[in-house]
Amino acid sequence: MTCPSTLTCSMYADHALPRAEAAEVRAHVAECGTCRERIAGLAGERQAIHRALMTSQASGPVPALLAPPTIPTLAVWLGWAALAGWAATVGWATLTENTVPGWLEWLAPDVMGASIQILMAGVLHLVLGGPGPVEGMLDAVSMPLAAVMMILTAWLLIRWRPGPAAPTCLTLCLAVALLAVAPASHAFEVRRDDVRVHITAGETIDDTLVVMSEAVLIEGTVTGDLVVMGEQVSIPGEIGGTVVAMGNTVAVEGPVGGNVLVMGETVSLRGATVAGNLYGMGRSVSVDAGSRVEGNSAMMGEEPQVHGFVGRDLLAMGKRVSVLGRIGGDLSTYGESLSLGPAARIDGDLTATVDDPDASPVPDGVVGGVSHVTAEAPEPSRYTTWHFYVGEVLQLAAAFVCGLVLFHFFPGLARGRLDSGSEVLITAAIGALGLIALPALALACILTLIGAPIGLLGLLVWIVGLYLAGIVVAAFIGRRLGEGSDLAPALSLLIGLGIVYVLVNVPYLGGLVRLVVLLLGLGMIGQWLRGRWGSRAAT
Amino acid sequence: MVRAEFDALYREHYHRVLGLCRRMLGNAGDPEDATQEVFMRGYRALGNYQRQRSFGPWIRAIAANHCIDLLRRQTRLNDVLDPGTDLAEETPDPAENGIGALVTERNADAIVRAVDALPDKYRLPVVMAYYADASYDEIASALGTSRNHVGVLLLRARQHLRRDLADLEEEI
Repeated sequence: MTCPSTLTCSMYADHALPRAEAAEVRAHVAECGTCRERIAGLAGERQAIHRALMTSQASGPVPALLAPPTIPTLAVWLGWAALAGWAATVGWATLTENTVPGWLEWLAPDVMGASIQILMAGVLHLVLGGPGPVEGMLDAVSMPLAAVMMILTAWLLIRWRPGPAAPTCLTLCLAVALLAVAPASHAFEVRRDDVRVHITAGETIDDTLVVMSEAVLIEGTVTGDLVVMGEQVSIPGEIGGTVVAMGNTVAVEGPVGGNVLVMGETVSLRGATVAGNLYGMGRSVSVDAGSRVEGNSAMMGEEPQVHGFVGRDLLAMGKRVSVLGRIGGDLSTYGESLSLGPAARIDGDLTATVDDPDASPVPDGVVGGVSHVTAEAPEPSRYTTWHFYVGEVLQLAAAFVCGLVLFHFFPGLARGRLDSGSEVLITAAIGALGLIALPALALACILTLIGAPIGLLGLLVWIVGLYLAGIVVAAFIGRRLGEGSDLAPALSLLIGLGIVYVLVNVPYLGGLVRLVVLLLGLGMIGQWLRGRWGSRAAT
Repeated sequence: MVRAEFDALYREHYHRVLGLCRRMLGNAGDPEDATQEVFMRGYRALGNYQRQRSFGPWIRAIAANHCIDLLRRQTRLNDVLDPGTDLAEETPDPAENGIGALVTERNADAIVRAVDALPDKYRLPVVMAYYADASYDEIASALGTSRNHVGVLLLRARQHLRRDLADLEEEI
């Protein structure tokens, strides 16, 4: 072996060489006086620095160790008082009103009843707006109690971490508090049958009605909303609120006081009157001559047909769009062709995108406003549009700011390392686990309904993780490229982000690059979490 | 571990941790506050402490990571980088014992001042290696670099120290 470099000798003197390499150096040193003296000098330096630093160590009285932060006594008493108040409220309601609290309904034989209520409330909240399931379930007493428990738990988890027992107990208290909130009122009626559900003509449902069956016939009156799922759905009765219907064949034949949202193989309005808007999707979507939609209408299907009246705008997308009735506002269509009957009338403008404008003539006198029928133009490549680049710059700027904030509060995230191929593979495997397992677990929690809040939180965490993954990888790239120069961390992050944003937009390969960035980024975040809360003693 | 036992360890290791924080932070922060924070973190993390491991290196590792986080927050610490300068590796003259010859009580202060005067990227690995007794792997993990690069940094640091102390000897 030739004389080792000064670096090797220095590392040998510091006992930092791998065993095999150290053995080689040791064997060489035994025969080389020059190297032996060099290493002795380096070892002497190490000891000298160590002795000097130890000599400088202070001595004297040791100040008292400050006690770890504890929960203020007042906050503890408030928390217990809130819990006691909730328990008293539930107990009093149970004893005096002889009702079963909502949180006990899951013990009842009809297990699905309460679950469907919660699910339908959530669906209606998302689709139609208005009070959501949480607002509907929490009354004036339970809501502040639940809020207090949530705030207290969050504060404790952030500030006080003596071990897992306390946060676990408090999280259980929080879960019990959320489970125990009593619904304000039972605002749903649920009708289920495997074969048929029939609301007779003289029957009135003074609630929102949820129906699930193979054949559904609603001849009676529903004062609230109607949510129906079935193979054959017919609604000749009167619906005071909104209709949400899904089925193979859906026919709305009566008056509807709200909106109509329908989806099915064949969707039709026959002699129906809709006070609100119509949203229809299916292979065949039609509004017959005797039907009226007072609001807007959006229809998507193979052959959307409007023979009746639409009070405001109509948006129709499909292969062959047919309009024979009257449109009070504008008509916008996208499809192969547009057919306007001689009796058709469009009070507003007509904007149609069709395959062949010559095959979709507009009869005279049909359009009251401006008529614009064009052939669908091929979409330009996004790379030739300026707004694509502006958008990418804005996204990069946002990611840069996020990265600065992220690494300010969590500097350990910027120290991610991928020094070897095996580290890359392990990190990518962890990332793949996070990419697939976390949303799967979250969805499983959501399906249990009771675990829906946890599942939704999990999905939110997953989405945030996907966004941050790119920033973490960009920081790693910038830092590795900056080795050997005096780059500020912010500049290296910016360079890394620039590289990532360019690579993910490369045609064809960009998708693969994006996947790799996600896997490695999620994996590095997972590695950081493991290091922070796992077996490493140093935080 | 009960609180009384932890308090005893705190008193035993306080000065060493304080010295470590002082050397690492320089004028970037209050070493007394940092030391208190280190031991509070250690108390909270007792669930992760393995009794078969010595308490001293464990708490010093916490201290080193905390000081590095403090420096990063102040953007004092750029990522540990190879200086990329034309500093050539110097071989100490075997006829001299380098720094070792300067260790007397008075020159110990000079060495400490020279260490304190090192740039952050050299001072931190020197203090961690030769005061906190951290391994190259631990230093590399804390600084976000490789163990070979840690070796380079320590070598560069020694070159700085030799130069500074040699200049001091000339003045004397």
